[in-house]
Formats: sequence, structure tokens, C-alpha cells
Amino acid sequence: MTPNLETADQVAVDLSELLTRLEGDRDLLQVLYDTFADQSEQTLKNLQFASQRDNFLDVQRHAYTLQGAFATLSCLRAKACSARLERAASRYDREAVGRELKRLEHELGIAYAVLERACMEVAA
Amino acid sequence: MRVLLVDNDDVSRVLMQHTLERNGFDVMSADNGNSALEMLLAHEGPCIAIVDPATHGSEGLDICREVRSSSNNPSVYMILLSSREAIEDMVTGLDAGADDYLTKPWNPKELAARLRVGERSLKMHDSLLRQAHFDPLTKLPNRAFLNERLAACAKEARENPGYQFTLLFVDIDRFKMINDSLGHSAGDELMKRISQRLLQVVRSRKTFPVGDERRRLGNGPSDMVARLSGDEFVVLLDHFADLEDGVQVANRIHNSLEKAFQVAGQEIFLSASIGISTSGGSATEASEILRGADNAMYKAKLLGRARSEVNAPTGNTAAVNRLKLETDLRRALENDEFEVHYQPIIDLNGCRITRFEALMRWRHPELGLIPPVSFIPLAEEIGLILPMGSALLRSACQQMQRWNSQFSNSVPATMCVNISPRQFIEGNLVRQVTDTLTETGLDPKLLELEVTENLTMKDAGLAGQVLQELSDAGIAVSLDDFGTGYSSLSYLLRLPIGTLKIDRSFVAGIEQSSESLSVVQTIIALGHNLGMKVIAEGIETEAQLSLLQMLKCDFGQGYLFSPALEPSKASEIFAKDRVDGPISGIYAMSQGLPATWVF
Repeated sequence: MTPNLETADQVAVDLSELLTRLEGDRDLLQVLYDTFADQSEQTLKNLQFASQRDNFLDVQRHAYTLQGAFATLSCLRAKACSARLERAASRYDREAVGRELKRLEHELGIAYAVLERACMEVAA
Repeated sequence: MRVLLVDNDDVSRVLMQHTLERNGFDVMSADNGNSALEMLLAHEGPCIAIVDPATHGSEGLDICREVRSSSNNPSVYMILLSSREAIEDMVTGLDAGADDYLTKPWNPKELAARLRVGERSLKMHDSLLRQAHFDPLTKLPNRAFLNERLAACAKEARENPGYQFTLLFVDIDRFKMINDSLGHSAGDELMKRISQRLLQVVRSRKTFPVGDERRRLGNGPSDMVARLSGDEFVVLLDHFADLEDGVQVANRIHNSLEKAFQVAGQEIFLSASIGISTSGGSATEASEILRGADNAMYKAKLLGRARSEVNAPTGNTAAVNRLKLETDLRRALENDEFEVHYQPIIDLNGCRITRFEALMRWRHPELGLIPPVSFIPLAEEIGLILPMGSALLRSACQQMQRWNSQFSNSVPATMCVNISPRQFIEGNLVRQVTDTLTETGLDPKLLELEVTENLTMKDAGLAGQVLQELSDAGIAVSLDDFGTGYSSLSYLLRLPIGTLKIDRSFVAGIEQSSESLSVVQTIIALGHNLGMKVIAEGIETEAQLSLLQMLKCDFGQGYLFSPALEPSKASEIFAKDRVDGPISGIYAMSQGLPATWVF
């Protein structure tokens, strides 16, 4: 699989920008991360379910929802990925949807790891 | 300021809520478009809505369109908050009715600045709405607002046969003259006071809602008092199907305005001419119904002011009759058409007249003698009972004093006078009675005031206080219609009451009904055990009399003895009683007929 240049060039999570927006409130970061973990797990399941059934409308909706969460948490690559997924679903492009969903699962894993580490650093 | 958040992305919503609350906003939250729309339709006051345009359920853009197309013109400042950054998305959002467009991730400082813009915009919107809908002097809804509301009510009345409303067109009599003599500043102050009194007599809010506040109030009745111009007001009575009810509200307005206004150090007395019309007739357009009320108001002016007239379509005869009766009643007081008749009360043991009950009669110039039941309730309602009751008391005391002076060698008789609830509550009763006694010279012991059981129970605290003051002044009190109310015996024991009057409904049944007989027997025993005298009302047969005598009832009155008589006939009977002793067939004799029974 050829890596997407746009994705590859971007930082996965812009922690510095995120903490600036949160005005350094690391407790808030923890609350947001917990909320994100709960929500994204369920949304990803919904995405997979909709994708399996070629329900492109639901794929668009769930991808859009995740976009908002990724944007809020400065997860730049995941946000870009979910935007591509949304666009692919709007074109009813089954192949692209499958591809972007896989990338999204990957980026989501990275986002979890970065944010969780950031929260742990805070706790320490 | 309230902010409604509509976003199905939990992370965004949590962060937004945190930021807004930290900045002092009152935050409501919804995770789908349908519940958001519901909240926007139900919320109180102006609101900023931050909506993700792609919210599930009802899409965010649809929320914008719904809010903007609402006929209630709600005060909502809509900010779209989207993950989409394309110019086309922003343009689509603003075209849908949004006031602003933000993208995620948002910057807290930028958001705060945009919210300030929203607040300013809402304040301006609210201010413009108020200027367009309210009279700046009285703060009442203005003509434009009234017309808007009237049109909605007229539409509702056309579409829903179960809905009607009534309009009162109120014009303050001679206000221009008052304004010219007091000066415009005092005139303005007076106008504000008038507005306040009008508001007190209807089911209206002091501040009428505008914009989306109206929806919050739901579908319950909400009257409106609007100032049309100068000294003209319109009262809209919502859900009023009966014109008679409108007449009652008009009466409340007359009563309210009758009380003196204190303005610029002067006491000012006002009256109003009121025209009444309803949506129930042939007029279906708001302007026609308003014109009907206006015409009726002019008729009231032409007929002498300080009165109401009904613009009556067919079917409103009851209201018209009532209004005529009310007008006649007011005129009757001025023309001295009320008479006092006297019904003797007999000592059932000694067979002598010991008391008289003073009863009011109305000698109508066209209808003849009208019994109290036909006019006392209306007089009570419109407040005329106060001057009528005062006149009755004075006449009765004068008459009793005259009779007792005439037969000074005999045991003096007592005069019984009924007191209405309104006299009891509003009339400064104790002072009025003592003044009348002083004026007429009647011994307080020879006056007995009759109050009903229900009246004493309605406001036990006030009743106890007034009755005690009367007792302290040496005036006796009897409890009328006893047995028909729900008196508490322990309460009764505490009141300074000298006499119980058994209601005629029990007396009427004692021949046929053992229950009625038992009730009467119980009341007599109760009264005697409490040290009271007992009077039986409505004695009509000899059998009833015999039974009451057997039960040791103290006094009785009724057609068997005599109806209420005009003063000359009552004088005649009293003279015979005092000169000739126990008499037979008082009533028969008073009518020149043979006596039907013997004491």
C-alpha cells in the first residue's frame, strides 16, 4: 500500500496546539480523552457495521462525527483520514471507503497512544 | 444568557460546555437535532444556539431553517460549528439562516468574541421588538401588538368552533379635561396608574411576552390589556365564550376605577365607558370585532358615560338583559326606587311580635315590585350593595326607633338587618353601624345583624374580629340560614352569636320528613345548649308551628304569620299587637281576611 503523502507529512497529534487551546488545563485533557475513548470506540464499530452493509449515508455521518472529535483533540492525521472517508462514502466508493476505514483504524490507534501518553505524563 | 449546544460529537460538546460555563453562560445541551428543535421552541428568553450543521436526526441546517421560518420570530442567534472548512459549506450555512460560522477546532478567545457579538445582536433584536410592540409610557402592548394578537385570535376562532374571545373597549371619561387641568406630567402618571388597575382585573401578565417567549406560555388563556392611544385601552379576554363574563370583567373595571387616584397631591375620581363585543357573532375578522367594541363604547358615552354597552349579535340576550338590569339597578339607587319592607318575627311562646326583619324590595318603574333574589346577587357583585345596605340599615333603625317610641310602655322590639358579604368585608361595618345607631338614636340592644353561616366560615379570622367588635358595641348577631353551610361547632362556640336562624328548607320538611324534623330538633337543642335563641324561618302551616312550639323553638317567621309588609301595614300590625295583645291570624288580618288560625 502506497502511503499517502499528505498523511505522512502531518503530525499525528499536535499536542502543543491542543494544550494551548485548553489553556494548559491537563485535567480537562484527561476528561476529553476519556470521552473520546468511549465515543470513538462505539463510533468505529458503527462505521465498520455501516461499511459492511454498504450503508454509505451512515458511513458519512459517523466519519463526520469522528472528524469533529479529531479536530477538537488536534489529531490532524486522523481528522484528514476521516474527511477522506466521508468524501469516499459520499461518492459511494466502496473500495475507497474500505481503504480509508483501515487507515482510520490505524490513525485512531496512534491518536489513542499519543493522547494516553500525554495524559499519563500529566498524572506523573 | 442561555446557550444551546447541538452536536452529536461528545468530545466537542464536553469541551464547549466547559468553556461556556467558565465564561458564565447558562448551557443547555442536545445530542440530536430533534430534541434541539424542541428545546429551542420551549426555552425561555433569548438564546444563542451553537449547532453542528451535520447533527444527526434533524440536520443542523434544517434547525436553522425551521427557526428562521417560525412565525414567532424567536430570538435565537445561530452559530454553526462545523468540521468542514470549505467556503461552500460556510455559504450554505449562512444562507440557511445562521448568523455565524465557526470551524473545529475552535479557539476559546475567538469563540468568546463571537458570543459577545451574538449577545449584542440579541439585545438589539429584543429592544427593537419591544419598541415595535409596547407603549413606552405604560409598558402595555400597543396597537400594533394588539392587532397582531387579535388577528391570531380571530383566525383561531374561525378555525376552531370551540374557541371564542371577548373584547372590551375602555375609554376613560373626560380624561382630556383632567389632563389639561393637572398638566401632562400628572396626566402621564395617572395613565400609568390606570394601566396598573386594568392589569389587576384581568388574567394578564404585567410584562407581556414578545417573540419566542410567547410560545413558552403554551395554550392557556392569557388576557391582554393594550393601550391604543391617549385614553383608550382594549382588554382582550382570551377563551371567553360568554358575553356575560365580559360584562362581569367590565364591572370589575368600573369598580376598580371608581376608587380615588392619588396623583400630584390630588385625589382624582375617574370613570370609564366600556364597549363589549365577542367573536361569537357574525363578525369574524379582527377589525370587525374591534369596531363592534368601539361602537358599543360610543353608545355607552352617549348614554351618559360610566357604563358598559354590549355590541350584541343575536344570541346574546342574556348578557344584554343582565346589562340592562345592572343599568336599571344603578339608576334605581339614584331615583330612590328601593323600599324597606318588614316581616314580623313572633315569639312562639308568648305569641307576640318581638322583632322585625328588614328586607329590601325594588319597586321598578316598569316591572313593579322585584324580590331581593332577583337583584341582590348582582348588587353584591357590582358593589352597589354597599350604598344599598347602608340605606337599608338607616331606614330600619329609624323605623324601629319610631315604633318603640310610639309604644314606649311596651316591651321594645328588635330590628333584624341582613348584612351582605361585601358589607362585612369592605364596608367598615362596625363604624357604619355605630354611626347609624348614634344618628337614629336606636338602642344598640335593639338591633340584630344577620350574617350567613357561609360568610363567617369564608374568612374565619375576619369574621371573629368583626363579630367581637360588634358584640363589644352591644350589637347582637344572628346566624342566618343555619344548617345549610359547613360550620365547625368548635368554631361556632367561639363566636359571639346570640341567635341561630333555622333555614326555611328544614322547616318546610318537618311535617313529612323525619330527617328534617331531627335536624330542626338538633339545631334547637344545640342553640339552647350554647345559650342562644333560635328562630325558625319560613313557617307556612299550622302543623309546622305546632311542631316548632313542641320543640321549644323560641321565635318564628313566615307566611303563616305575615309576609314582609310595607311600613304602613307593618305599623298597623305592630300597633294591634302592642295595644290589643296577642293577635290571631296576623297576615289574614293585615289583608282584611278572616283569621285562619289562632295563637
